[in-house]
Amino acid sequence: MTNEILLTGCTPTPLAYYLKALGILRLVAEQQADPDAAGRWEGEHFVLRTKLTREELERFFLEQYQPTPIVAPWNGGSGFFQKDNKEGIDPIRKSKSVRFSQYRKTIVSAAELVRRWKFKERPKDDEKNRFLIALRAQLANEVLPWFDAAIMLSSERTLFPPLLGTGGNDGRLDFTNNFMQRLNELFDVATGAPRRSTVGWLDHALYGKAGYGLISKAIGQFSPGSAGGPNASTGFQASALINPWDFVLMLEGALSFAAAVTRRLESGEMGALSFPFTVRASGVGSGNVSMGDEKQARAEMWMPLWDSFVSLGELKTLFAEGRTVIQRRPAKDGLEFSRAVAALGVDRGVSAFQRYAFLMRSGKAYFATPIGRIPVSRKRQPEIGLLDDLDRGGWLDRLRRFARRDETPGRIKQNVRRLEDAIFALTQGGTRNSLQQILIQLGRIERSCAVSKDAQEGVSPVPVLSESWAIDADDGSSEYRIACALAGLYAPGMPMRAHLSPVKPVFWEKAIDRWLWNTESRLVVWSSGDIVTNLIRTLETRLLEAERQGLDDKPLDGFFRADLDAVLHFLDRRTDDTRISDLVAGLACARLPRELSGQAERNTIPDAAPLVFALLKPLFVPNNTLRWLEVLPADVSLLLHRSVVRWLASGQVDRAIEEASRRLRMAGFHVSPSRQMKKFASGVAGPRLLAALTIPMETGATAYICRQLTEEAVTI
Amino acid sequence: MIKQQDYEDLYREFFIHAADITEGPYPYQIRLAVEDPLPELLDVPTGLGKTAAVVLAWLWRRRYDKRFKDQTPRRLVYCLPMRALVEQTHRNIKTWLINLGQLSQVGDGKISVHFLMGGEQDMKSWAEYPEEDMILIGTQDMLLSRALMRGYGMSRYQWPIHFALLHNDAQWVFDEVQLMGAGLPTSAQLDAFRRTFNPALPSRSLWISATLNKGWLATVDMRGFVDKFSVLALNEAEKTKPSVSVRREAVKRLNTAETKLTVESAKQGAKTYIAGLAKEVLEKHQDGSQTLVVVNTVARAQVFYGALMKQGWDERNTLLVHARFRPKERQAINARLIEAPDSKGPGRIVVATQAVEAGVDISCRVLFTELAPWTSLVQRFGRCNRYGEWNKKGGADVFWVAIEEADETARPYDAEELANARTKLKQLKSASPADLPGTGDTAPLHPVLRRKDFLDLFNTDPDLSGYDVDVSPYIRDADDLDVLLFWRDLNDGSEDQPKPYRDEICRASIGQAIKLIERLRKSGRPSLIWDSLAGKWQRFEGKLRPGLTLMLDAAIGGYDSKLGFQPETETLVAIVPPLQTDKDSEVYDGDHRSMQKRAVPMAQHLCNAEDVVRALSVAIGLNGPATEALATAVRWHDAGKAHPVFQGTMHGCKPEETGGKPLLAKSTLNGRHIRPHFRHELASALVWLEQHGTADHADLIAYLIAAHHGKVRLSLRAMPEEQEPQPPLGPRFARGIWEGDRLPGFDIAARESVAPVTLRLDLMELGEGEMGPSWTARTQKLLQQYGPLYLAWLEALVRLADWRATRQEQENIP
Repeated sequence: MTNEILLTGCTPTPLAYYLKALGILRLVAEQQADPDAAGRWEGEHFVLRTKLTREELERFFLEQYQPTPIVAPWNGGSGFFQKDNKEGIDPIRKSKSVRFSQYRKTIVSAAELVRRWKFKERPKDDEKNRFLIALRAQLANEVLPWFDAAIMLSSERTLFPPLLGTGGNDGRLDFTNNFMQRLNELFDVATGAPRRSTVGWLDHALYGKAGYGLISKAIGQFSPGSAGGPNASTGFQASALINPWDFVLMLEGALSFAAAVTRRLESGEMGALSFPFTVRASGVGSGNVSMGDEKQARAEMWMPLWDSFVSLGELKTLFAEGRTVIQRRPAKDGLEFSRAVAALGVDRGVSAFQRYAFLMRSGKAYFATPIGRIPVSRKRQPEIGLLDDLDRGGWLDRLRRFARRDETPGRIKQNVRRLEDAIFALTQGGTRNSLQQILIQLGRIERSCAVSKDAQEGVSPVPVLSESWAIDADDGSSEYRIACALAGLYAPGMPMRAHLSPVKPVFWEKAIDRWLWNTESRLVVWSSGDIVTNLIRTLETRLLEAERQGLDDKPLDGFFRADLDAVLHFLDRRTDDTRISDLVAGLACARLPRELSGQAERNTIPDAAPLVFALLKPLFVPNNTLRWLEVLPADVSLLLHRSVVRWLASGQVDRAIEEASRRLRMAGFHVSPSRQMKKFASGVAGPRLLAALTIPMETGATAYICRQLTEEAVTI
Repeated sequence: MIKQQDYEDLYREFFIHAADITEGPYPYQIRLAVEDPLPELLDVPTGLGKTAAVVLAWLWRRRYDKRFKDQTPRRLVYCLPMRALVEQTHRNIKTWLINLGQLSQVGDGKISVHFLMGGEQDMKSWAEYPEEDMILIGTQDMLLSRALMRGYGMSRYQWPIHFALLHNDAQWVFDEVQLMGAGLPTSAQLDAFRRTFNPALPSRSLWISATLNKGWLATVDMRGFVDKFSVLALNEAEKTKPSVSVRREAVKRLNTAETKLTVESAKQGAKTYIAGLAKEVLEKHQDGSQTLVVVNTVARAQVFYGALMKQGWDERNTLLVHARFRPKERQAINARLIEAPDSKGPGRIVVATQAVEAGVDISCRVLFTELAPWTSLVQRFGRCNRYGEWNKKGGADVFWVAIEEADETARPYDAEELANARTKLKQLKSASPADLPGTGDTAPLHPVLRRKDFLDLFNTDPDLSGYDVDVSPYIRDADDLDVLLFWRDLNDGSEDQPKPYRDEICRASIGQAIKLIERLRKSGRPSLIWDSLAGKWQRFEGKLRPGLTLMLDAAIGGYDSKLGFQPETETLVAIVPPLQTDKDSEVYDGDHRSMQKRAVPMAQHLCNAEDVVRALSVAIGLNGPATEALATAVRWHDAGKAHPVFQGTMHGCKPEETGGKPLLAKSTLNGRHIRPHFRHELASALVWLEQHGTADHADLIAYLIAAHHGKVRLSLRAMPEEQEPQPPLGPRFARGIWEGDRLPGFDIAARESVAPVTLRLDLMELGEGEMGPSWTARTQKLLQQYGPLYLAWLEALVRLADWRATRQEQENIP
């Protein structure tokens, strides 16, 4: 006969109440000989399935529960040193009650060890490390889970999993000492009998029934809502209203987590410290933390929520499986972490993760702040697969390692950190915007690496990104389409990317397979200046290079062509040019699609393209395209003379038009000269017009413009 | 009725024959063999034939004396802290077995001897014969890592097999325990676990040392047993017997050397100190005999070696021994070391560091030693007049060199440790074994492997970071802080350089290595590190950390064949040419055998394997209900091979084309499964559970089936690169098995019928699903019920039976 008991006092947030649920499950399973006890999350509450009835459950906690003997003789304030508060520890040490016998033994043997090591106050540094090794070697099996939840011990140093602050204390609040004090409040420790208020408090703790006269004590990091502190009142000591049971059961629950020293198999690396579902040592995803601050940065824990009944043994195994290295800065912390956690979640039927950040507060204490819930979907998030492109040849890994060297230029460091943030955001369910951010940062990184010889030795150019990047990052904006069109600007030997940074493509079966640094490149012209200047330089360079190479067509073809609307937006200065510049560099790393979604609807013929633009555009369209559009006979070429470019660039639009008209007429277009020419040209900024003309444009619109010029005589 | 005296006589004869000696064994050696029980501790001074005592006693008990046969484990596991000891021990044991006509290859029914140490080629054939008597000799790293389920230098998928064989039916012997460091408490804890976790067949441990403090073994879980340990030591009569007393009371006068290491004399590379010491050593050295000089650092040993020559000593009569040599040079040195110097010549001076404490069996007439921790000093004293050979020729002398109390002079030791030793030395009459007090020191501080850690290790799947629980803190403390260096001719660049070979790697402390790396950086030459991601050598720019392996340009120096690693040396380093085996050996792959010479039908393989495991159970004396479960597991172990994906691979066709084709367990084709990471053993376990999920031991059988390649054990997870199933299959999937996959039925010959089945996978999720409890819940329960030792044992037997059946099938080609 099993009962399902709804524990409305146990909720996924705050952390204290989550841990409380684990504590109850653990104690019932271990101390009530009900190893089959199980629990699940139902909505926002925990349900315990046990052979105990509700009454028996309450009676267990009131009359039989034997507190886990948690002690922290390594901490000042733990009750083991002269100056410590002994209100909690002394009565337990003297207790004759069976409930506290294990606790008593543990205190005595720990005190004995402290005495043998001749400590007058808490040990520090190496001595502390050595003491901890000795302590762990001797503690009773029942106490070890506590030790392993609070301390991560390796031969070189000691670390503290964020869950229990800094080794079982939080600023000046020692958890163990408080635990013992709370036990004194719950029980007459001498006899083991519960006190009068204990029943009501238990009601509150288990079922959330209000109004049993909570007491004013610190609860520490686990429940920021009820904790005091600078923001809550006048000071840390003026703490909070808590229920002693909440504190006790929370710590009992925290023992389900255990640290381990791990290492990569046969790597020769030193052991790393791991803790369940915890990620640290990364500024990723946190917006305003720089790499230099990572040591101080927050840690995160992802607490699993599940909706079928799960036993304690299964949970412990899940926590062991979910261990992640938090000591080191592994190559792929935040990103790899969330990918891996999500996958484990799927396999184990976890429904969601409640995410907690441990934020440093007042310099010493941490707060566990709930920062959202991440549902586990059975399907893998397809966008995340895109990141595999960055892993090609271990590129991302290498980049991140490079960025973490002391001597790496600050600009690269900063860009890499922003990249990590964006990647993290993507794994958190962000999609389009995060993808764009990633692209932008990739472009910046490549360009910043380009000016550092050191970086070029350490990191290769961004790997080729698949077409899906460009498709999935599309936000439908004109800026995006223009950026795509510019990124796809192409002619043999002149990929757009080569203007942005000194790189050259390596082909494999006729497609670009990867890129190498090419410090001798003549093509790099792009600077941090405005896009118009950059585009003009690009154009000039391309023309020159085409001439040098003896190309028989204009080097202005594009993989992707922008619609006229977008181009006109640009021409009218209605676009965010910085954004375009940013995107171009990232998109240049990607294979580009021929079309983006919604393209067909956009490719309608607009009413009017400014005449000046229309007249000049054919000169910027490759002859092959013009011939394909049947606006240019097969044996005729329409040349883009460098003088046109020069005049436009220097703002002499009228002269450019004059020259263009001449060229057009020679190629068979019906353009007649006019005295009005100057008037039309006067309102147009030459450089911007030139830049707009450089953008590869969708063929339908191109055809329309060209046909206008061929079918009817245009008089300007 | 045979009397005890008769046994003793028989054993004496046996021993003399084995050891090829004329004078009978020491009485303690006889007691060890014929008295009951075998003790846990053997407390005998060095030089009295401990190894022979232990090995021959085990052999006698196991093979010759029926009274002890059944309680004597089949495997003698001889664990030594250092490689140098392994080679020597191996040589001796082989000789004894040859003398007795008992040595054979594994599988031949006599006794095979196996090496377990890094770089050895055959580290697994031993594991295929659990029913045979054998001797495993290995280093502590290799043996303890296996006992902790994280065997070094082997496929992770075979960890459980070695684990099982080292915890069941194994007589462990820990020799030179004072050198074991962190391994010592681990050895004690493991023994305690074997006492509490009920292995299938009992195992025992024996610790040997002249200096061991019994209290050091009293770890948290061993405490209750240590008091009841039986200790075998020399009795009073023995101690006074001439053959014993000649060693026990070997004359070793204790003197204080005139030279002292002070903060002042240690300056400038200890030049003054070394010059003074060299002078004093040459004065005290006696022609025709050996003098041993033990200093505490490699650098001082190297300088001292040079100083001897400067003062006119002949280099040919000098040997330098320390741990900063490449294996190639070290082997040559060890070979020279065991040859005694010509007694008519000028004699020999051996300059050494603590590496010689554990090193080879040598003896000297004059010993100079710097002050060192007490246990080290005792070891060093043991190298002086070891056999009492100088007792009648004027005795031998020990000179200890005082070290001024300061941290910089004490290195690599603690000033406090040295102070303790100094106090002890001052109360000492002589360095003769009879005059040495026992060690009263408290146990050195090492992390202790706890029960929960041990249970944790049973799971061999890496965690979310791809990391495994690190066992190295429980195995050894010292070596881990070294970096590994090797030298190559890099004139033609680094591109084609293969990975390092064992014989060319030199260990160096980080502090010393930094000096060399700094020098390199200043000269603009690279040190290179293997970048496994990029698959090439990369310039190493980072910080040195333990375990790092670096390739250096031979032209820049840093190593001298005579002196070993020395950062200041600038001459070209001689390159070690690779052996053929180095070229062949690549990283051990997981699966034991892949392509087969002939096809084998599934039913036939299942029957063969079942027959093998039944025979194996009888041979090793396994009984109880688990025996039947074991046979069932083996009968079903490959049932999942009926999966169309597997049959597609067997027949080289698409899964949907396999209908009507015979079900094969092995085929001559060697294709890849169409689904990445497909594991037939998971399908087998699921098929079993679908049809017999409520049978007795159903979960145990399912686990044994699933674990039979070591890849699907306690946890059931999909791999990151797996293909996702498309509806109607799925949504759950793991290891290439998709929910909704259908397997045809078939007969396991006349033994059992397997019905067609549709696979479900909800047990991979936590909690109870349609299939009942989760895989995790089931396996955790098994672990609790059977304990890791027993479970691993059954697991290993399934796999060994599978291997053996496969081999028989392939070898018995008509």
